[in-house]
Amino acid sequence: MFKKDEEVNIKNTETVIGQSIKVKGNFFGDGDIVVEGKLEGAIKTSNNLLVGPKAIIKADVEAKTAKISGEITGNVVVENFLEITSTAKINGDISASQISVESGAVFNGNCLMTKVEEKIEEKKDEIKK
Amino acid sequence: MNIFVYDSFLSDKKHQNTISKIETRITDLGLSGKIIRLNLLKNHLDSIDGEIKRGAKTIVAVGNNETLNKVVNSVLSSNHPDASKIPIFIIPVGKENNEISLSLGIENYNQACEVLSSRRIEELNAVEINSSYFLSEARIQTMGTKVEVDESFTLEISEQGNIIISNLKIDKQKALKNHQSLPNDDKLELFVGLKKDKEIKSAFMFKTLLVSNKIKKIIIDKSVEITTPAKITLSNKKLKTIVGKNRSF
Repeated sequence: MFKKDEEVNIKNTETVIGQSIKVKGNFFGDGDIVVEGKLEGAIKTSNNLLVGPKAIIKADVEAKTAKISGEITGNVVVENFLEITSTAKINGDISASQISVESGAVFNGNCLMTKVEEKIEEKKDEIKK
Repeated sequence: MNIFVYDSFLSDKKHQNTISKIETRITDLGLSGKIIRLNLLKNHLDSIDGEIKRGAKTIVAVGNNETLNKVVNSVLSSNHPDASKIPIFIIPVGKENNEISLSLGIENYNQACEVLSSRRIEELNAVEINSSYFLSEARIQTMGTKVEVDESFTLEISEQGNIIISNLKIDKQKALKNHQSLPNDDKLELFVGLKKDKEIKSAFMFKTLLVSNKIKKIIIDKSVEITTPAKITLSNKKLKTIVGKNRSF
């Protein structure tokens, strides 16, 4: 389905939304998610997300890492690494601590780089509390 | 006492030879018990529940997927406090409609008698669908079917195929990695198998599913029809099941 990637590596796939499937609603999971079909609503996972080249997502997206090759209309919030490939079309704001954008990708929105160090300090403060 | 539940189709003469061989082997192994012969007039739930109350040691379905489903439903529907402690088993008769026994590691009636004798017991999940139960899978056609998952999202499928709710994998269609449908992992999986595809390409894990279709029914354990709307969830009851060495899980 996808070539193995050093950064966004899908190992523990909990959900696969195939090409002929349309999901409507709030889709929240703990495992890795692969989207090849359509999704409307919201999608959130505490692990990795892969959006295939034919996928169409009209939703806000949250994930630990993400590789986007399809179309997303909505905001994308990624905790660690966000990879945007040449076939991706993103209409919305993106936020991640590391971003890679391949030539040919379409992106209309604001980009916010979050710092990993800040998050580590926040977590340390939370533990102390 | 071992209870042997003979399904009604076994009264057909073509099965007499097989039944005789099974009974001889069971006697040789010292596993003889009481035989209950099901027929269209006899309610299997009452018959098997009566034997549970009388202290059945093992309940053995002799027949096919449907026979096993009747035993599963009888054991799980029983109000008797010891019902969940009684191991169940299947001796398959005939090659057709016996996919569940194969997944349990029971290849044929001859080997089944040996497996029964060795008494290797696994505690398996059962799945509740409305007021019934199933062990392996529930299946419905995609067209016209509405699926709501965990009260959070719905699925719309635009191609012909099947929606498969799987607890114990019984078909030969290639499974997705990490989705092996193990009946002892406390998880339920939903697959979408499209006619155009050789392998499953969509998979979801869930806790509760609402399925509806105005025309088509859900088939559980490849044998029993259930009308929709249907609520499907993992049962909190477990099935003590005697299994073979070559089981699929």
